[in-house]
Amino acid sequence: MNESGVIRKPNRSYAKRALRIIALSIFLMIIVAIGSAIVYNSLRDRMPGIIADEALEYEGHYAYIVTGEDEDFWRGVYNAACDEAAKNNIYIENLGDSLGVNYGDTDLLRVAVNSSVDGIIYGGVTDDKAEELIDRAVSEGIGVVLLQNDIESSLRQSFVGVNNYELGQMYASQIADIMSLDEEPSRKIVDILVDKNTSEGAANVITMAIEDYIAEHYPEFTLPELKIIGVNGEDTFSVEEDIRNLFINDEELPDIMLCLNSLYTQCAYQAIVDQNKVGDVQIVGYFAGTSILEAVNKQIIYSTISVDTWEMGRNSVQALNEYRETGYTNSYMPVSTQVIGYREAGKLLARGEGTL
Amino acid sequence: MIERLWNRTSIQGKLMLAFFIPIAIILVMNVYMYMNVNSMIARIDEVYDNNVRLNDLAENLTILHNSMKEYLENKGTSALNAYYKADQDYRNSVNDIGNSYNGTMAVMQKNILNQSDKYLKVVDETVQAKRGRNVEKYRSNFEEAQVMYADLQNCIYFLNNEQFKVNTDNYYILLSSLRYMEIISIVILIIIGMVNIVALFLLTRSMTRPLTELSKAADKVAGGDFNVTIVNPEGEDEIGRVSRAFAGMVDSMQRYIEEIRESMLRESRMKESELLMQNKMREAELRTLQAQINPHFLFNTLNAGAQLAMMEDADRTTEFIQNMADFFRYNIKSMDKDVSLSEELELVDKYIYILNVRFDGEIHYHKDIDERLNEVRVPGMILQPIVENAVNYGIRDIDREGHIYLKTYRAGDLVFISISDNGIGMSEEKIDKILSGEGVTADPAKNDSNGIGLGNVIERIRIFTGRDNVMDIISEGKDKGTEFIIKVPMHV
Repeated sequence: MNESGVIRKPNRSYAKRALRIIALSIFLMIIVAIGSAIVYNSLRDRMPGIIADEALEYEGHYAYIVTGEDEDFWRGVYNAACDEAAKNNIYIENLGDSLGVNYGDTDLLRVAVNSSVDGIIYGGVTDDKAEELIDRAVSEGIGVVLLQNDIESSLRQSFVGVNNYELGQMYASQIADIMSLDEEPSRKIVDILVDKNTSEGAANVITMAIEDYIAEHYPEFTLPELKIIGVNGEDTFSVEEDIRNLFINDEELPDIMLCLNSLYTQCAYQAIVDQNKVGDVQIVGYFAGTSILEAVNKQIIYSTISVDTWEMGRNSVQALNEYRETGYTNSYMPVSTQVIGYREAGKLLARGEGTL
Repeated sequence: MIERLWNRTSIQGKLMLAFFIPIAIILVMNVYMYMNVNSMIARIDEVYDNNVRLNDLAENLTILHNSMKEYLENKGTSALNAYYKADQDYRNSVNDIGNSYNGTMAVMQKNILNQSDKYLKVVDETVQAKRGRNVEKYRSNFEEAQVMYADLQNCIYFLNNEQFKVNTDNYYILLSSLRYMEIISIVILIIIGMVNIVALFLLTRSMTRPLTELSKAADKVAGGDFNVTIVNPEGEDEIGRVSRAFAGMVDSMQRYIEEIRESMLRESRMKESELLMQNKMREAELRTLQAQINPHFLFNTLNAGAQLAMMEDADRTTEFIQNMADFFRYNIKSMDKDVSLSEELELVDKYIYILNVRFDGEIHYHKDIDERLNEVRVPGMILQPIVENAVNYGIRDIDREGHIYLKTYRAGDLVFISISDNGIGMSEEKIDKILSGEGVTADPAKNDSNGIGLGNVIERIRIFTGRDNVMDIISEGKDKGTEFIIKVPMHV
């Protein structure tokens, strides 16, 4: 028998393999652990953003107070104001939207003043109550910018908008255009739709501007018969009803209808289509929203006066910023206006503009 | 270094390590996941916290306003106290809201805080005016406070509502995240568990592999194959030690087996030579015994034959000579080999005949033979010497008639051959001496003997049968005769 029957085989790989297995499994488990930790953290990191809203600290807070009918127009102004404000990390609070209840302009103005906002952009009614609140705001150090309708007697810092006289002249140019369409221009009846609450003075400025313009530029034309029609905007849907009523009585139907805001324009346009009076009454609208541009393009509306809402919004914020920084600002900041006939409307629609 | 450490660790230690590490990792993962889920649940709990705070605020505002109103109505002390308390409560809940918001919510919150300040001031002025009986002022102030109160409630309500919407969204997001986490946790646990199982399986297999190999080696060794391989004999753990011990054991087993084999070989060789020697000795002994046959006897008988022949030239002489010749032939022939019992009995017949011729019929010979035992093998020349002894020492010198009795019988496996006489008998001493082999050598020179003593006979029977107790000698005393009983096995 062989003396060395037992062969002793050293098994180095045994220890090595065992160690390798342990190392590998630990490695795997650690990878899984780290991976899961990353997943957890990413899940958790997503949370605070949601929880705490946008983690923003605004440097300023302006209240934007515009109620009333003309939503498209004011929405455009608001968007422009927000864009401008965002540059300075200022929050524009659309106070009408922020409060669930149906607050009037002056109520909102009161809330804004009591809330001690940093600035107020106001485009609402221009009655005494509003003036009083504006004065109170200014006395408390809150800058106030008025839009569209000015209260010159108030302590407001600035007015951004179109001068009513200027506006009247622009409408006058359109009236003259329409009159010159006739071979033998006759005396025209022109209805001017204004808010019932608008001060008489403002309406008078417009009629005066129209008369001045035609007398100056078209002395050969007979001056049109200008009628101020106060539209009731206080009750819900009352604007639409008021305007529709104008078309029911044929005898009172004007030749030309001047709409001083976009809602009037849209209501008039709908009524004229429904009552089949297209061509009988020429509408000169206000604002260049898409639906109005389309109507102009179809020649249902003769033309529309486009006010640059973007400029209006931007200017108002700039005025407030200036006031906060320096303590004063321009008391009047004009806004560009443009007459859009059906050719221009076509071009604008083709460019995809007119959504303001 | 780690490898050496691993080698040195006991199996218990290795297993502990193999179990401990995964369990530790699973434990840590579990704790981590538990904490995550926990913090998430805590967050869910917090979601509606600010709603609760806003509700408190609105409630306190109402209490404050009503208490002011009550005081204005009755101007009571308790109403005033209630007002002060409500005022403090409201201030506290305003502080509670603190700066818990940012973004647009923060703006709304700021509005509420500022309005609250102004409202509190107006309310305070109202109460003071009432105390100072400034009727106009407190009335107008109360109107203002009413309006501000409504504004504040509206603002709080709106913020609360907005907050609730956001919170509800958050709540659902958190809830779905929680579900996500649960699923991830389960998946992770499953993955880690599976990795653990695989690792443990591989690890324990790598640990038990040497054991498996060892058991295979043990099987091989059990089957007689010592050419085995021992894996990892230098490991310091239990398996390593067992492996080494096993290797040592196999080595020493091999050595012992070798030694035993050698000693057995030696022994068998020795036994062989011993047997050979014994044979030789027996042969020598036999030859020595054969050499003891006395030629005198031959001469005396021959003399007797001659005398007979001289006296009568007849058949008897012929017979006598014939018997003589047979006797000697047998004598020479049978000394060194075994014969059948019948041959031996025949020889006794011839011997008795010869003696009776010699002593003129003095010997009365009787036999009682069991014929069935005739073929039993016995050493040659065993009965004649006993009969001779019986004649010479038993009945020769007695005055009465001498009788010799021969009887064969069987008891069990033994065949008994009894030779008895009615002679002078034998003393106990003599019997002992004969049986022990002392002083029994016949002296052929003195006696009419064929030279084969009783000792020789006994010895030969013993060698032949391999037994010690082969003969009994019975004598009941003087003149009572002697009986020799030979005992041989049926089959040798």
